[in-house]
Parts: sequence; C-alpha cells; structure tokens
Amino acid sequence: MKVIPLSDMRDKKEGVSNYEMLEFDFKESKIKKIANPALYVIISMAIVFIIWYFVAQWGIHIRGVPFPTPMETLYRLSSMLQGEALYGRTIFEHLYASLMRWCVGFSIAVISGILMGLFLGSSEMLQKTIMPVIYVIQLIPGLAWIPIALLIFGLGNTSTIFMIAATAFAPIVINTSGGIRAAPTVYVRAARMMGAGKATIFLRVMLPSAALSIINGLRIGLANGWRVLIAAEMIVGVGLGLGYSIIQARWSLDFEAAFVSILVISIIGLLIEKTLFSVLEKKVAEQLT
Amino acid sequence: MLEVKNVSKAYIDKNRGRGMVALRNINLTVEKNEFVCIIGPSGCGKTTLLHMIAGFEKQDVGSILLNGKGVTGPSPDKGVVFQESSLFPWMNVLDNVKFGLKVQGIAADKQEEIARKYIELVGLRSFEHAKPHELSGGMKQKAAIARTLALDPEMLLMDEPFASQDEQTRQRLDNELLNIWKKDMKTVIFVTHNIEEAILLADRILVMASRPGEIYWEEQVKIPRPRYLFSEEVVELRKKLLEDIGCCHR
Repeated sequence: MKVIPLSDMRDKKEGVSNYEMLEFDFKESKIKKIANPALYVIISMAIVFIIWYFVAQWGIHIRGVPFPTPMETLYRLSSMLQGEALYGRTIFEHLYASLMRWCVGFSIAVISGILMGLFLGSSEMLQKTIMPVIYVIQLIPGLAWIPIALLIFGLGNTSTIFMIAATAFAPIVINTSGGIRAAPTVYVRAARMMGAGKATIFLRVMLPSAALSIINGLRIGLANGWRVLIAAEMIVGVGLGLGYSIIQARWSLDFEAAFVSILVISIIGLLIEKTLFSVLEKKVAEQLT
Repeated sequence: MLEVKNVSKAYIDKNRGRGMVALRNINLTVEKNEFVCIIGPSGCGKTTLLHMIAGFEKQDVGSILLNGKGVTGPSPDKGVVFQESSLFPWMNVLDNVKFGLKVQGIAADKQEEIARKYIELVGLRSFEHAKPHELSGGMKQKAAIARTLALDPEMLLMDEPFASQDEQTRQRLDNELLNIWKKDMKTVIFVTHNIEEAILLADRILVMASRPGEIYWEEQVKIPRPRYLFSEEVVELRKKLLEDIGCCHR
C-alpha cells in the first residue's frame, strides 16, 4: 500500500487523487506524537505559574508579606535537590519517609479493602448489613481520625500509617463490592448455563468484570491516603516527612521551604496518577470493552 | 423431548403492591431435533418462558420436564444463546468457547480441539484470537453460538439472538444458523418477534398473545427448505399468520 504523509492527504490539490483510494496508511512524525501531549502539559503548568506569580506579587506589594514567587521556589527546590538540608535532613530523606509511610498504609488498605469488598460483594445480606458502616467510615474526614489514632497508637509513625489506611480503606471496599454486585446478569447466567459453580463464577466472571471499578476505588483511596498523610505528618509528631517540613516551615516563617514541599507533593501525586493508574486503567479498559 | 405442562407464572411488584400474570397455562411439547419458533409481541412472556425452560427462573405452577426429568436450574444440556452479547469481554473467542469445556473438566488438548471445531463451524476461524470488542455484532452472536454448541447441549434455546442486527445481517445469520443446524442436529427453541424469520426457520411456529401470556395458535410449517422470502407458500403463510390469526394484534 502507498504510504503518504498525512499533510499530503489533507492538501487540497493532492487530496483529490489521494481520496480515490479506499484505504491508506499515513505516517505521523514521532516528534509530533510526543510533542503534542507534552505541549498541553507545558501550557497548563504555565497557566498555574502565571497565576501563582500574580498572587505572589499581590501578596508582596499589597499585603506586604513574603509570598514566595515561582522562581524563588524553583530556585530553592534546585538548591535542596543539590543537598541543602531542611530541618537537619535532605529533601530526599523527607520524601522517602513520606513515601514509605504512604506505601505501607496504602498497601494495608488495598489488601484489607479488596478482601473486605469481595467478602461484602459475595452476598446481598452482608452488603445490606455491613455497607452502611463502610459509608459512615467514608464520611469521616481524614483529620478526624487523629484522636482515634493517637488513642490507639500514640504519637509517631504507626499513627500516620493507620490514618492513611483508614482513609483509603472505605473507597476501596465500596468500589470493589459495588463492582462485584454490578457484574452483568447475562455473564453470570451464561456461566451458570455452562455449568460453572459459585466459586468459579465469583472468581472468573464477577471479579474480572469488577476490575475497572476496583481500580477506581484504588485511585480514590490513593488520593485520600496521600492527602491525609501530609496532614497527619503535620500533627502526630513525626520528625521527618514532607508534611512535617511544611508545618516546621510555617513555624519558622520559611515559606519558601513550605512551597517547595507542596510542589514536591504535587509532582509526586501527579506522577503516580499519570504513570501508574492511567496505564493500569487503560490496560484493563482494553480488556473490558 | 421437552414437555412444558400447565405452566403459569406471575410477577410481583413489591413497591406497588401489585402482581401481574406473565404466563398462564402454557402447554408445549418439543420433539428431539425439532426447530420450534415462538413468536409474539414484546411483553408477551416469550423470554420468560424460555428462561424458565433454561432454568434461570422458576415457574409458580406446573412442571417443565426434559426427557422426563424436572428442570431445576441452568445446566450445559440446555444451551442458551442470549439476546445481548454474553461473551466475556476479557477473553478472546477461543477462551470464551473453551470456558464451558474447562468448567466441565475436559482435558486441555481436547478442549482446544472441540473449541476449534465449533469456531470453524460458525466460520470464525481467523478470529479465534480476537477479543469480543473487535468483532461485529453478528460475529459476536456467532461466537456465542459456537460457545453454546461446544457444550454439546441437548437443546438450543435462542432468545431473539439476531434482533439487534440490521436486516441484511439478520437474514444471513438465519441462513447460517440453518446450515449449522443441518450439520449439528439439535432441538432448537427460537424466540423472535419477526414473523418472516420464524417462517424461514421453523418446523413449527407457536404464536403467543400477551396479557396474559398464552400460546393461542400452533402452525406446522411444511414448506420444504431452503425457503425463499417471496415464494408463494411463504407469502401465503405470512398472510395467514398476520391477517387470519392476527398475531401481533392480540
């Protein structure tokens, strides 16, 4: 088959003859393929930075406060990346500490949440009796777990991990059991017709058809956990972490450092969402549609 | 042989506190290898009847016997082809067809052999590794037929399997179904609302009326196959069913 560049196809003069073909291959330059999505990211970042810049100017000149500008923040970030210490530790150590807590807490939520969701999804009776409790748990704001965490685990690491797990748990349970319950009747009937027993139907029909919903639950749980992690680190007395850095920076009026921490938090969150979850969701969606 | 004896069923709407009789006093006998079409307007309970024969729903009154034994639930000897696509979207065609065989505990190499045979029979050999979303609507239904036939069922229960296809595709699929039926003889109960389709396919047509769902006419179709849509006999029978018996008007 004749391969022609897409621009030629759209070219009106050339187009007349090219449209006589029934099918055609076209090539798009690889640079464009990568550059186009990248361009949108750059534009959206630019918008954020421009707004930030004007808010900072307003803060500095009208209110007379040392509002960090984007340039100052980026400059400080680069010096921290080069090893400038923040409250006795490097930014990497703070980030690592936060990520580890989040990993442990989120893993606990994923395992217990999916198991609980499968358990509740397996029977309508369980769903009706236990689900209201899960909905109540979901309604508890992340920070409201602090007294409970402190009473059970005291000050320190375990409390933060508990709070992450607690806030990520409910959406995972709800989406897992909801996905199982929403498995199309026709799939279940087809499987029964083919002689499949209850366990086979549950594992090989209901579970795969719930996959997309489960991923959505994980996604919400992940974001919940990440938000509460930062908040928890500010309060429950850990000496290390991005949330700890923000609150320390606030006490010592080092607003630049706080902004650097916020920037790092956003970038990490964006990376996890864009790489891990988008890829995972796309793969599963391909399987299911 | 399938026997449906004095079967009735009502649906109860708990929220409104009302019941509705969906089927009343259905009697029906289907011989081995017979091709029976059930026609009737939507809502006449033909799908309900098919689902009760398949074992998905239970009748309130009466009995349904397959070879003398009561139907208690769905099983591979009562193969169903559903109205909508029932292929598992996360499996390719081959794995879909193998699913039932695997569940039956058939040896792996044998599964492969049987699955390939039926995929070939419905003419989807070059699509065995395709996922359902890569297939057209007609191909999906053919794959579903292959999956059901691979179970080697005693009966094939088809619930308006081609109703969502366009006219040309439906006619082609009907012909292909007849060819498959000739090669792989089965008892078929085929539910449709399309009179032409019923005349082209069936040995016997049962006409249902709604509210309450009852079988009120039975027509033996003696026209030799292949049947042509505009042959005199077909046109005559169509006229008879539409005008004299007035199906679709009751």
